[in-house]
Amino acid sequence: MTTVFNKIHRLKQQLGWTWDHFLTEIDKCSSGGVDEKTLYSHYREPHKKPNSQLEKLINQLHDDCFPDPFPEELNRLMRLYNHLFNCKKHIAKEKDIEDLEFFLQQQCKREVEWLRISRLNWLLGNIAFDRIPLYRDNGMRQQLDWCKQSAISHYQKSVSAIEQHNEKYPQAMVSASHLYKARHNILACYLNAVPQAKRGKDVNIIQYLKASGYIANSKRTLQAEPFQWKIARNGLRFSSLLENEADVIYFITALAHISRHFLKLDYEPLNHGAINEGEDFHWAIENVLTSDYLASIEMDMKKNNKGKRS
Amino acid sequence: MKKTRSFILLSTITLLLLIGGCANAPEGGVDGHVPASEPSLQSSGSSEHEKRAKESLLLEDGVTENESQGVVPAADMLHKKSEKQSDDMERLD
Repeated sequence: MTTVFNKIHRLKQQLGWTWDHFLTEIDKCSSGGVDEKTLYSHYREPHKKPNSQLEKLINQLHDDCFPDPFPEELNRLMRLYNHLFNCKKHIAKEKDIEDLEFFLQQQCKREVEWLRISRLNWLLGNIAFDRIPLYRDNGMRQQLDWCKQSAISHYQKSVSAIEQHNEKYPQAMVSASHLYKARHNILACYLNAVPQAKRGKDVNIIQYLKASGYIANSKRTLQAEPFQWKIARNGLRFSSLLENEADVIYFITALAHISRHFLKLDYEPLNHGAINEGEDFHWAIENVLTSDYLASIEMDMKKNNKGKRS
Repeated sequence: MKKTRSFILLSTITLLLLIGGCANAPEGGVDGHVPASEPSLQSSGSSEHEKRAKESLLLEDGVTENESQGVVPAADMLHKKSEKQSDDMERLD
């Protein structure tokens, strides 16, 4: 789920989008508009929760400037599933999800358009993905393995379908960021299937991490969109699990450039825990991210900023 | 193709209605009665064989006292226990 923080950055990154232009575009969408201070604070603070009005405006602008390549009805179906999954009061939730899953499976068999096949598989992958913590936490290994494999298989089919589409329609290519997201989900299946305490030593996670080139892909994506703090945070997580000092330094520096808040390891960005609370980051904190080292990064950044000003 | 799209549209509307109902549903069902747990992980027609297979799996890592006695936890219990770990990786859409 792309955050408002990321969307504001992505919009701002466009050629000619000064703050004045940004505010003018917002005014075109809504008579109420948004004041400059609010917009700028959401641009700077990854922990800020937007109100519904700002969220709606930014979503609208973002959708206009970066239209989603997938069929709208399937995106809406995905949103419906997300609401259903997150609804705590829905009495027959599991049964309804099973019914939806059955419907999607049947649709997948009939579908011939690559982007529809991709999105249907993505949603089927999400349904299986969301069951992983349930089976993991209850020690139900067989169901857990089945769910994990099912989710991975659907995400892989989704990736293949996008690649087929891109080959067939080079003039309407789906961007690399969508492929990155689907591959990120595959890695998340490997990671979430293992209890936190065992992740650092899990052969499957380490093997997939190395084989998939996840770290290199994350660095590439960050070069294109340096504001993506979730990518940098996950890069830091996996560099820590791989016990790779150089990569830990790379990703903590990337995070610091997004916001200096990240140099405080107890900082909590929106909907995420602090780095010092996650066991996956344990090696990095113990061996690289000492308070002296973090202070030195901050010092270097201040020096660089002064150098730029003078 | 048209038939397929109509099918999707119909299903979407049905889901919307379901979710609408869900948002308005009282916490404990009618008259505060707590409804029976959904058999989410055990299909209604699950056989003894399947049950035994599940029980044997529960003896692996992460077993609880109940589980070690071969009792398959009720679905609502599973939901309680499946609170997201503090740092699971979120999926992206």
